[in-house]
Amino acid sequence: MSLSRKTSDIVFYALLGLTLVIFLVQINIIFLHTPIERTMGIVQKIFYFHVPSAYGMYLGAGACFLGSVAYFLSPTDARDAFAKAGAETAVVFGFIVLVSGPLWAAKAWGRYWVWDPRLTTSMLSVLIYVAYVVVRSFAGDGQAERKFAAALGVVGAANLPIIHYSVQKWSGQHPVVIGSGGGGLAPGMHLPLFLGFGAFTLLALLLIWSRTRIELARSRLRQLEDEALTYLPEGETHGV
Amino acid sequence: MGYDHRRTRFVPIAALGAVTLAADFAVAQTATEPGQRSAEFRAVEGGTEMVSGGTLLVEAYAALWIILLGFLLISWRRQTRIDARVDELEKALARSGAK
Repeated sequence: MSLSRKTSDIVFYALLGLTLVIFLVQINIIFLHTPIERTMGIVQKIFYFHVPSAYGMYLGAGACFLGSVAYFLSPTDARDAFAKAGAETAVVFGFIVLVSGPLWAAKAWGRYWVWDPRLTTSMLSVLIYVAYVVVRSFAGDGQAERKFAAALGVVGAANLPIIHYSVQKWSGQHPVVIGSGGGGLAPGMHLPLFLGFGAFTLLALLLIWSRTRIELARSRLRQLEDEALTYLPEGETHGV
Repeated sequence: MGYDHRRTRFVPIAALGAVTLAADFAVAQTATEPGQRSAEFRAVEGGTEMVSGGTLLVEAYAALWIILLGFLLISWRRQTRIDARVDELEKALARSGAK
């Protein structure tokens, strides 16, 4: 194992440990120290990982966008792997958003789903990245498929600012608490949200990193298999 | 005539039984009469609460960890397939090198 790989392993495990510690501290603070919201009650505590999950989805989608643009500029396995890992991370966090949001809405709005602009655009974004992952899983791994997926990664990112500004441009039921136009949080609610952003940012980075490594390993293995097929004698290629 | 230890042991047991009976009687006096028990369930007037917020919160947290663990499982299975392909490649190279 080279020194750089050993160093990256140490950094990975250190970040993983830090993520776990932040998660534990955040859960402790959410349930033991954070005040219960006056109108919605205890279900509002979903907020502390629902919003950071949406942020994680943005990070994954951003990685997919950057990887896709970089792949168009100069196609390499690493750039393609980075874009694919970003799309998968966006799907994971998107699912968390789409599950936790309706559970919160069931209490806050009295129904699991409404065709609110932010909910609808968020679901559309998750479907785009699901399509990306499905294309990469079932349509092969040639140059054409990679370029098609990269185009989807670039075009799919166009929906991200629409999600963000949908609550400001169109009326809807989705709350606007933080950011411009929001009423703000009670004093005890800032810390768990801040910790949630930290934990989910680290988790998203770790997922992107680990998935990129696996995809790169797969690409290198495929190249080795192709090379082996050229010089292995007939009859020795079984299983390769 | 000797001292009867069994009779002595019986005294605290009898006292405890008497206290328990007296307590039961007192509780029975303050309990709701049979005719006053609730015989039907009615919803809160104008209430919209269909499910506990705490239950929804627990479900949301469970979903979070199930999704993350599911992703971990998928990653693990992909890594296992890569390992299997590496094994096949090593075997093929070993077979060709042995000849």
